[in-house]
Amino acid sequence: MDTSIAPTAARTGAPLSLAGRLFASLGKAGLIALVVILVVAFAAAAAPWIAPYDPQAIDLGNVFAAPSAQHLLGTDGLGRDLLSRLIWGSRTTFIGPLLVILMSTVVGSALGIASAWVGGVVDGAIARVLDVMFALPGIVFALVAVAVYGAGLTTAVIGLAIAYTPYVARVVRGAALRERNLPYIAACSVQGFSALRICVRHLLPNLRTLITVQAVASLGFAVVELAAISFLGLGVQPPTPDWGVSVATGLQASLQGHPAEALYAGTVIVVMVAAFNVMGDSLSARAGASRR
Amino acid sequence: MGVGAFLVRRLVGFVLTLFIASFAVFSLMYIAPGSPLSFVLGPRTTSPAQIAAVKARYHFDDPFLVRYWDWLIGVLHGDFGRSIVLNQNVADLITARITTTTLLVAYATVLFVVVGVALGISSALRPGVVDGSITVVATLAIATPAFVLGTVLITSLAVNLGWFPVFGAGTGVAGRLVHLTLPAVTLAFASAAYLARITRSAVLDELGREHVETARSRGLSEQTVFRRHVLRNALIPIVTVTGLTIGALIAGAVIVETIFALDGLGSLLVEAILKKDFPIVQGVVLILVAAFMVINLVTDVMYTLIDPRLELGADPNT
Amino acid sequence: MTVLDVRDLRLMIGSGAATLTIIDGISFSIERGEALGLVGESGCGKSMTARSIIGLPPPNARVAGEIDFEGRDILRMGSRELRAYRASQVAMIFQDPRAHTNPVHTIGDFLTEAQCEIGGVTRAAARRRAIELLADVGIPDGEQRLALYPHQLSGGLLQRVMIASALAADPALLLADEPTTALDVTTQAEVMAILTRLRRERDLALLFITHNLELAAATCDRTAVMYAGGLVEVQRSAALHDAPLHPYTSGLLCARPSIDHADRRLVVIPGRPVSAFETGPGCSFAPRCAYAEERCRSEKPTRTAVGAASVACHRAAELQGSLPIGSVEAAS
Repeated sequence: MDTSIAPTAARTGAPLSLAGRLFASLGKAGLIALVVILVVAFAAAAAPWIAPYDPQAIDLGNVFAAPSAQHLLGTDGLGRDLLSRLIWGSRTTFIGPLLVILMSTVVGSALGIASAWVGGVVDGAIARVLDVMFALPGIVFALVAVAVYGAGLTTAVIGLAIAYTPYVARVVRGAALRERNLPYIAACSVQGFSALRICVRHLLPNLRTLITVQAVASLGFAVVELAAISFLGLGVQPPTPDWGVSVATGLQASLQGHPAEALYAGTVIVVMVAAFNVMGDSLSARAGASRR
Repeated sequence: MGVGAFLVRRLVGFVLTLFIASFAVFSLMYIAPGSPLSFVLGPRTTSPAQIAAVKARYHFDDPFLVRYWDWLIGVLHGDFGRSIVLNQNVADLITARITTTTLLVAYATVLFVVVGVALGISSALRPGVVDGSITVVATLAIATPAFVLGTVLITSLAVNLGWFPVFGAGTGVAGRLVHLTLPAVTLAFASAAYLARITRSAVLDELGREHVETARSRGLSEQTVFRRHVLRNALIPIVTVTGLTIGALIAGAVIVETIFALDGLGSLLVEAILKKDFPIVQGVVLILVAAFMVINLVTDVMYTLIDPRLELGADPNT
Repeated sequence: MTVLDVRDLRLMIGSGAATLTIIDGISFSIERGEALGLVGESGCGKSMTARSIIGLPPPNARVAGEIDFEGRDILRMGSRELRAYRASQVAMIFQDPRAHTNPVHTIGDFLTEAQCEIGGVTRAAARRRAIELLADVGIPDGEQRLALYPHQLSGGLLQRVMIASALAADPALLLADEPTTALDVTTQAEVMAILTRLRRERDLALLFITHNLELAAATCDRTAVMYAGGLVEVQRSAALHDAPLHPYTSGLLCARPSIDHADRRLVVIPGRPVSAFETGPGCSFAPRCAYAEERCRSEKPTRTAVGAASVACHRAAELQGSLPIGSVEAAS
């Protein structure tokens, strides 16, 4: 345990340490999921230092090598170290979805709150626009964006972010509508606070839990869809290591009798998505319980 | 509101949204960087005569709205324009491939509904080991993207064991079903797990309701109680999620068709995107949007049919 | 003729070290055509008593003792026998009719389901009977109502429908778990009137559970007062009202605000009502009793006869006739 926390807890007599609070809010499963996510985040951040090889380093004399002391997971069809490619691949697989969720959450929440607050014609108009956006499933939207602007991670991320925005907006709008009718908001209005101030400093903090839970739950989807786009060759472009791309190249290798790369990449994707989903579940279960 | 008013209102909304979506889809070509003309011509160098011919053929000199209108009218007559790359009618391409996609999605739907509901009920009625193991498997299954599962299946079952044909859609009804089995399972896998979870929690919810106690107090058999009072009520969330999931299946078909080299709309879309063949992209996206919206509409209607507390047109989200 | 004979009924929740006693050995009986009111505050175990009688205790509960229905012990019945018992001999109506009716089935379905599924009656015959039953509970246009859904009826109407459906199989015993608590006072009176009339017409035995002592006294022949999982007093209702035998009953009677005069403060029984598992040795009411002695705190009293009634109090004989029944302070 972090020693700087312990003396503080002792001094103030606080009942729960940081670890204790985390456990209370996440539960056992959620805690395991959090650990997994932190491991991946660490790998992504520390890739340059912890990856044993350059992920792009080609070694044609050593293709499809079995796991050994030099290459813990073996090599791929161009002799590149699979472990290093996995570690480096965590970057795009982690950052991409994070950006998607960040953008869609910020824009979606703003839209939802604004729509709920202003109401009337504006609300109706925004609802219509959102309806149209709902008519397209997320991945198709991103594919269309890629069709227009060309393949690449940026395009896919922006396309997916736009596709996710209406879902966030709908949930936030519903919650904001309910919050808005509560007396404390009226109290703020009566005191003459500007609409912007009320929304940002009073409404938003009370929606914070809902928004956070929604965001974490959606992270899993974003990972899957972004990896799928990269798998199709329309997102991250090879030779950049990315888990989705690895599954694609791994598939080709599998057909030649070398399934290792595809299996490794596939497994880590499943583990990471499961971790996000489990954490989302724990958070929403805790949030629901504390609201009652 | 009455059935008539509801249908009219939904139909109008449907048409309006389709209209706006088609407009957005049509504008694709024009918001892309680079002029539309360059897309059509591609990297080939062409003579001024050829350029003039292409311009005339695609009406590039007409104003934007006129061309949108022409396209829209064309679509309503079943003419989706011509593919730039393949030089065929987009409509013909779509017609040839729509059966495969429809069969795939239908097959996957049957699979995920049957398996999902069955597992969910088992999970709810047998707490303990059965429930625990189903839940763990379901959590992992939900996290398994179709492209990962497809890859694993192809690798293990088709290549190594030779149980299922790997690529192509097969001929004849039986042949097609066999060829579509692996793709359908891939498509249905995560959705079945998700529906199992929803079913489980819906059934558990209903088991604890007071009206179930009333039914038991009448001396009805446990089977009857379960069928008419637990399951029947749990259908409400189950049907809702099923409807939403079918929509997701349509999107997932894009990936699955590509992996298994099926000649469906999804793979057509991906190829067209890679080759920047916009008329195809526009046409297929329009079809997908329409299909998606029809599914949503049907789900909404079903929802009000099974829950008499909701009037037609009520928004279950507020 | 005795329809129901409950002997030393005990109900425990949980197992091993975490066992909680909810019902701590109660005994009573109900004759044909008789109405017994079971009165007590929340947590005393009265709802669980009713559920034990109909054979539907909570899943993690253990029930011990004897519940004799017309000679057969409910607790020893197999599941098939139990279902037959529930289908035709005993019926239960519940507190919140809206929560206890399935919202996706029509009223007609609610009334005909049991008849068709178990009785093998045709749909048409069941419908006719349903319309008769509705008329019996004061709903004349039954034909139209059959097609309605629960959410389209008011609480009072819905409770009448529940009563109608309970009587469909002509049971010998009716268990009513606070049937009027969720209704407004006027509707309460209507529903009670219906219950009383039907009871007399069909010679029905009734166990009427409520927390309202007045209501029990007004509608039931005898009243049983329950506290912390045990019966403290069982008496003819009129007598109980005029001369309660147990300090708890006296406390409940005194706590009623009077409409005749103004009081400075409402009388309360000090402390809070407890469940069986929260009591110590000795009388469960002793901590709150104004008349408690040393003996009361160490020795648990058993329910003994005092004339035609029975009471569980060490000091019953000496207190008899002297327990107050209302506040006598007048406003100054």
